[in-house]
Amino acid sequence: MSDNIASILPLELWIIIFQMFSTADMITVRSVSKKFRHLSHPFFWRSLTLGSLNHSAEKRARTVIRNPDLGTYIKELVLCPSSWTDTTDTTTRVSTNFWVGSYSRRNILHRFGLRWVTWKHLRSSFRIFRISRKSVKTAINAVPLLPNLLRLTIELEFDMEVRPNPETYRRLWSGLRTEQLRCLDLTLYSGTAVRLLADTIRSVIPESNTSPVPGPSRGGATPRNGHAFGQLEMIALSVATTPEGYPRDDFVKDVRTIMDLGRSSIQSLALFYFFNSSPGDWTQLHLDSFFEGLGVFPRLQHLQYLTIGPDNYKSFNRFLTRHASTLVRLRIVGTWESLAPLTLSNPSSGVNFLQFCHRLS
Amino acid sequence: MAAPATQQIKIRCNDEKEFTVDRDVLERSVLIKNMLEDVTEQQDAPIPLPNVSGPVMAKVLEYCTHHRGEPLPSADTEQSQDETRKRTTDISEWDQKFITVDQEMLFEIILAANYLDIKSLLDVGCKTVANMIKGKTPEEIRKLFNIVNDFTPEEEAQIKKENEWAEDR
Repeated sequence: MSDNIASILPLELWIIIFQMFSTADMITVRSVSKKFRHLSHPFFWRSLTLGSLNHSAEKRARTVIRNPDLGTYIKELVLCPSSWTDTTDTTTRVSTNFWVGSYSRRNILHRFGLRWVTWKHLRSSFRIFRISRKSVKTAINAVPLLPNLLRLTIELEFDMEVRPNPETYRRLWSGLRTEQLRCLDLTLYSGTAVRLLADTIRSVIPESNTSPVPGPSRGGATPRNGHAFGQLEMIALSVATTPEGYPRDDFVKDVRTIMDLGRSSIQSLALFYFFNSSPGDWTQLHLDSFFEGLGVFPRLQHLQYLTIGPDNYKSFNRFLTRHASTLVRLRIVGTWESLAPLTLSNPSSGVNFLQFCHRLS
Repeated sequence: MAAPATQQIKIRCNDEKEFTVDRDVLERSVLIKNMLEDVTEQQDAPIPLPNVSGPVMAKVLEYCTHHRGEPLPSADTEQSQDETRKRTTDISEWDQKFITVDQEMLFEIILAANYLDIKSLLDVGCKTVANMIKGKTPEEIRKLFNIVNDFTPEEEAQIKKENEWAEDR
């Protein structure tokens, strides 16, 4: 037998073995030998998300993200003040996560009735990321150091303390390697943030490349740095409140500006918290034509939409009809009251929706 | 009426050890299955397996005999199996007893399973190695597999620094 067992197995077999390891195991084997370190390196970092940290590790995470050697392997960047999820897959996360606001670990324990959970327990199945203003700045400045980034999640708007300013957004969009980005997850809590982001995008991307609806064969919008959003497959956007003095048409236009980033390639669209406010709210009253303003997504297959308000089901029905030939999955979450206009109370208006559901079934 | 006799196939290992085995048992190996399909006429000459020794082949045949009749993974299911492989290192009770061998035999079985293309046996072997490593410190892993620590003190310090972020403090 060889003196060194590790040298008996060819590299491809060690790779199979390493694929069975958790992040903690990978950290350990990286410290065993040069060969193990070399082998485990890309397989470790490609699955790393910056959400997999406790708050005491945040400072050290900044070191990781700034390291060009390590940054090469990061494919997902999550910036959020505090979240609780059961998966690192962004697409799934959209439908499975729930918010804990700015809860500390102690609050989480209280909320979920757990007697005691150590960070080690949490690390194995959940991620909690409490980000500071300094880390937001560091992460956004490091985006150009992440050449293989595929998924970007910005969930900062829930936390006033770390809400980005216009200059931060500008740096983010300027540094992003947009041509390969697959998933853009934006939890912009306020309408102000939508306006801010849309303004930034318009200032970085020429207007002529965002306003028309491109055909299926064309790429997405092209920013001034020469990169295209040709690979963007998913956009998630959530807005809960809109400020006074923000005209409806401007809001629709701003949302459309964000959606136009990858209109021709987008397969999955998730809209959350829209029209989820109490009756009389600005959004409920004035967005009856919201879906008309969204336009057409030639490759849209998945649509997730949280709560359809009573004032927008007509345009939603028309939106569905326009995408009936491509849509394969529709997920709507809401109360019976909010869904009623689609089916029961207004059968003539809801006929398209019912036909669509029948076709999918 | 008696059932038709199962075709018997001869194989020869790299130490000249020969085995005569039922065809369906040998066909657990995709390599041998393809070889048999490529040969149109029945041949008496044993199939040479230059990368497997007699004792290792005996263990492999023990595994194949136990699992004979089980469906082989199709190309369609291989991808999902790869995903499953990443998530679990569970091993069935029989397989666990079967793979309880010394390290040299374990690694030889893994190599043979890889060469003979027996995916399920390869999985059992790799999961066993993974389970041996899990939960151990770097030093324990080195000792287990007789691996020399080839890091310089500076490199060790660098690794420690890199891993600091994940430590619970």
